Amino acid sequence: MLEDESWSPRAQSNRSAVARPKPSDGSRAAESVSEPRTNGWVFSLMALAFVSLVVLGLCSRPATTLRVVAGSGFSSFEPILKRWGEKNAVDVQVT
Amino acid sequence: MLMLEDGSIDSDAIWEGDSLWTSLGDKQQLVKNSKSIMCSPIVFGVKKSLAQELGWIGKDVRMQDILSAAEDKRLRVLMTSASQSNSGASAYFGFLYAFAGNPDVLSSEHLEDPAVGEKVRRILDTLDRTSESSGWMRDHFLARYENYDAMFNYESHVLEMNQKLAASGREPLYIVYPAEGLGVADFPLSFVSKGSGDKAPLFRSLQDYLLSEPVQREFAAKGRRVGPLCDQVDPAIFRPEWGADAAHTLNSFKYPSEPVIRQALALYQTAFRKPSFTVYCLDYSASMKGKGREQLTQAMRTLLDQQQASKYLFQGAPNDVTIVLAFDDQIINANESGAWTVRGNNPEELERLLARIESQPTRNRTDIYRPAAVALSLMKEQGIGDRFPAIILMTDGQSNSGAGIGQLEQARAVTGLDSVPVFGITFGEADPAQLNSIAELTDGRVFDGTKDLVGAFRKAKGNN
Repeated sequence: MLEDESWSPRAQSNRSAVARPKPSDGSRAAESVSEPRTNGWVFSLMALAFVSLVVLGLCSRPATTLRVVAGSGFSSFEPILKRWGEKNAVDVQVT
Repeated sequence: MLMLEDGSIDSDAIWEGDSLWTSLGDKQQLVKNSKSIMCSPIVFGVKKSLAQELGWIGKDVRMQDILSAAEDKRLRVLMTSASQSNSGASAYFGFLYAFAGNPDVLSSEHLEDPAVGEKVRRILDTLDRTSESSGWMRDHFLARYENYDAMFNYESHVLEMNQKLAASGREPLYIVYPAEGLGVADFPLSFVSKGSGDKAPLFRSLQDYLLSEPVQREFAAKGRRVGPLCDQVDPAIFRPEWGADAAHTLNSFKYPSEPVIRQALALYQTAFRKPSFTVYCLDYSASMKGKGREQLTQAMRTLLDQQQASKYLFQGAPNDVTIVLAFDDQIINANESGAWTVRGNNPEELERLLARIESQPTRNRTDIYRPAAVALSLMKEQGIGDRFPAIILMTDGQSNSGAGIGQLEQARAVTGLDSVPVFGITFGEADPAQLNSIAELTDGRVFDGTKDLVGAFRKAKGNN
């Protein structure tokens, strides 16, 4: 999600450029006034959803990693290390 | 040990077989808060009927007894490499102590004693197969149970293997604790301090967890000895009929000083171990051009440049044979195999071989089966003799030419060399399935060189 280009500053500025009302005659003026207001709500809701997802993602992911170099005979103990990692929100990387 | 020694370690913790290796490597004092998590002595596990036949049940068995039985061809024995594996090193130091007459501490004089060297060389000569991994060796023994009779390995590995043997209705191994004693692995978990210290509380939490009662019980159920004195065991796996004896006072030698340990390991590699016959099959197809070729050259340098090889304990021995086959969809150097062969460990000859490897240009498509088949023919032609054979086959691509695995099967049948293992190393776009099928056919293994080609070559070479 964080890599979604639509949320990059560059994409955001492009989106604004598209939404900007074009110079036009009077019959199109009403449309061009209401459009930015609708887009504002949509953007607010989407931004809120995005922030919520990021917060949820951060909460559910381990806060930190612990890298353990283990001998080749330790592979049967890796589940025990991982289990401790899950309990403590630590991503245990065994190499 | 090496990563600690040169400070290149980028991990937060180390969990290894024996605190010896940490203490040898920790020149920069990076290791803190080391605690033993469990223990397991190195033992000699032998098929029970054979132990009975040899009169070893319930008796003191000395190293000389094992040597005599192996030399009489009554035992086909497995042991990991002393220079690449903790269990192998523990057994090897046990041999040295036993044949030096059990001194309080082993010295350089003992190592230089020809009588000690001769017996150590003899017992190592009786080995049928070696490996860099004690876990893999246990599994290999289980998979090829009819091919072997005994192994030096961790007591816990013998017990775990016995559980599987019992489940399949096969004869168990009987545990022999050699009277002179072998090493006792203490499996320490240590923190690697790199200045910031922010991971220290996490590490302590993990260490406490592993030492907590429920987790210690789990280790005991896997045949490890636990508790502060390493005297607590799980009776369900520690079965007396398998020779397991928790009350047995573990005779363990005292590791000598660092210079003597290093001298002993260098002697193992250059003078005592059973020599090797290695054919390296190296991929020079077009896709290896550039970085692939550079990494290949670097990997081969760590094995053949005797100065670099000594850092990793891969020095050659006087009776080793080393051949390099350069391949794409053909054997590029087929007509000059003599120039690509080194008999012995002359550093200048090995350097000349390296120069050839470095100057070999890359070429066409890939056929990985042909070089393995040609390697067998060369082994047959030159004679393996009393050496550990291995074919190390490195490729970065999928075999897209030639007659496939059939030509390797045919070569095995024609040469009669059906017990030569092929160790595959993957690199770049290599197809692990193709290498796995070769490893399966030949009782070899496949190592992933896509992230660390040099490391993969070192692991592969650790098997002979």
